[in-house]
Amino acid sequence: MNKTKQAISITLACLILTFISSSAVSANDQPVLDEPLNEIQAIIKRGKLIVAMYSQDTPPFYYMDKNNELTGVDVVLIKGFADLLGVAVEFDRSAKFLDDVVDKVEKHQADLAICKLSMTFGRAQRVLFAEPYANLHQSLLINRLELSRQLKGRSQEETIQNLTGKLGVVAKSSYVGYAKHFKNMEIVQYPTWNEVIDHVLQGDITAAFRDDAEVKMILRDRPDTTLHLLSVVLKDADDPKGIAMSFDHRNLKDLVNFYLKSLDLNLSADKIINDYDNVIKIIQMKIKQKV
Amino acid sequence: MNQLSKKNILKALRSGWTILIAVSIGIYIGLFKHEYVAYVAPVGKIYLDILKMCILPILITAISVSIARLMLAKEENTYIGRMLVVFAMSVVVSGFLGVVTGIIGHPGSGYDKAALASLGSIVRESNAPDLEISAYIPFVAQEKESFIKVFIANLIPENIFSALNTGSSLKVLFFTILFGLAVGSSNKVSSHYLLTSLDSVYLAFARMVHWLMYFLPFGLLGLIANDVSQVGISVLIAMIKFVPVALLAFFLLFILSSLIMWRRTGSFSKPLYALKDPVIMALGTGNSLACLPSTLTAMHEELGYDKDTVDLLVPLTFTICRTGPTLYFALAALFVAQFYNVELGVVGFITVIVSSIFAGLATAGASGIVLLSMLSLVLTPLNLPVEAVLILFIVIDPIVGPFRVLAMVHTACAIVTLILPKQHKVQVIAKAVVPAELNS
Repeated sequence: MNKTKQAISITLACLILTFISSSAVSANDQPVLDEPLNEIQAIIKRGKLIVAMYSQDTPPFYYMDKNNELTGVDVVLIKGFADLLGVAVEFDRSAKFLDDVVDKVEKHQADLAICKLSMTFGRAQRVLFAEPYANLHQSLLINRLELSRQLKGRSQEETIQNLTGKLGVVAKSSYVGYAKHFKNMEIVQYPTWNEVIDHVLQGDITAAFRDDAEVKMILRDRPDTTLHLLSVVLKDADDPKGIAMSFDHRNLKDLVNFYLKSLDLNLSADKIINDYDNVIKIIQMKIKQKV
Repeated sequence: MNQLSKKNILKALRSGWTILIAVSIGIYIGLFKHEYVAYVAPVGKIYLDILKMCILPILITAISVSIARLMLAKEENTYIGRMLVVFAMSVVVSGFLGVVTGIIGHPGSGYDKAALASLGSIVRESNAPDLEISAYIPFVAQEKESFIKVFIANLIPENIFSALNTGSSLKVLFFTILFGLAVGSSNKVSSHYLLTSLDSVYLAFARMVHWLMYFLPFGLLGLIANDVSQVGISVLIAMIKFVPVALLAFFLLFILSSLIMWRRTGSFSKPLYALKDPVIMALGTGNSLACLPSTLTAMHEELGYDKDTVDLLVPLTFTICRTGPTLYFALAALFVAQFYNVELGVVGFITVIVSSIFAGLATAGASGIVLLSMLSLVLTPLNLPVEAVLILFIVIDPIVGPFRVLAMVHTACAIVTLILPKQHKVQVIAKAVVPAELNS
């Protein structure tokens, strides 16, 4: 008896609600929907995911390949996400500096940003970060001659921990902040990583400072620098890389986190650099299984 | 008839032509027939092992017997002071020669990007991993021991048998000299018995080495094939500026010591010919102590120097007077300075010579990578980086090392002729008079 009453009253309420909402919509001549769109639905409706990405190519994370196609770990990763959503990807590569990418996301000019972006406290105050998809380490590329001049009877390790002179970083990158760790060093910003490398090779600066993937890439791809530069990984100074989204995109963040967790990649610098083809293959296989 | 043909075979085995043929085949296999290296290399290794087996007994008996005999003969040891002076002079000259060839030859400059890239690849392939350090926990370095402390630790054995076991020649040398002094200081009949027995041991091992010389062509073939096969052509091309200059420097040292021997023995060709075996041994084995028995024989039998004196002076010169390594370190330091575009200046050159001499002294009794790592003693005072370039020197050492040993062995002989009186007025140092009844 009670149940019947309940059922009737719910049915009535539904009928009334439907009537009110349908009359409201018909008044504005809008599509029939009972809630405002969330960000995921908006992306699906738009049919494309807008991704902010730093303008400088950064292989093997994002770069133009021989066929002039954008590829790399970050690109494959986010294309896979878009595939699952059933939308296309549009890359916005107008950001001159890495911090500009964060601006774009904050101002809703892009849905998210992926470009080996360091998760720093400063950035996390302005945007949301999904869980890190790659765990890199802060790393130095030191001019060997400069280092041996600073030794003065100390061990190499001790000298590096108390390094003096100039420390080169990419301008407006997370490393401007990380560099403050080296208290005795003057921080010098250069527009691109290549310029930092050139200056450390010439001995204008004592060391270049960036993540271990970048540092290892230099030594792998430019063996002519091996005799002049020493790579040093700061094993307890992490540099987690994350995907950035604006503060009101919490649903998107959850979805990205779910996606990353199901891929379970555990990317490290060595894995990405030495086993790049396999990493890409695994990402693509795992995505295919989900589609 | 049978006897004659056997003699002929033995003669043929000792002939220079046979050795030349063996060396050529060894080089050919090492360069072009890598598949045969696995078959001939063990022959070389066995040969070298048997030779090394004889070295320590010869070293011990030769030095202790000669010191004891010289003491028993109550000979005024005028040449000990002279020896030290000549040693000091020779290492200074070697260091100087290294610096001069480095300045003139300029082996470290003008590397273009391609050359740098191939050198860099060599360093990376040789497993030079990235340095990993903590950013936050201060690094506590192991306390470095002073040079003197290390040298003394290398000089004085805690346990003579463990020193013999590990083949620490410097420690063995120290013990042997003391032992010889002790035996020589007691003029008892038992001491003479001991000396005679030690002498027999020496002769037995010398005999074994003598037999071994007949198998030298086979040993050389295996050793050289193995050495040559281990050196990558790319390394040689990359270091094309350094290797010839280094070989030239050793050649100059060789010429210099030949000239000295010419003056001291009165003949240019005689010492050259007499030292044929040590030279071949040096090039074939790349191990200075392996040349010891043949050098002793050559100096005594071919050049006519007194056996006891030679038995003492030659091993001492080999182990303490490190002309080859000193020259090489000086040259290598100049190479590194030029490579990193560092101007050294006069003070720098003097630093190079002095620290090369100390580094050379520190290599006493060392060989291979341990020897090369002493280069850091020269580069560190000059504020030059060590690790990366050290790998390059290690990689080219199969080629350069034998010539370094050759220069050192040959110079050692010249040094001995300088210490001893000129040969045309040679006076044979009286041997200890062993009572006749003991000899019978």
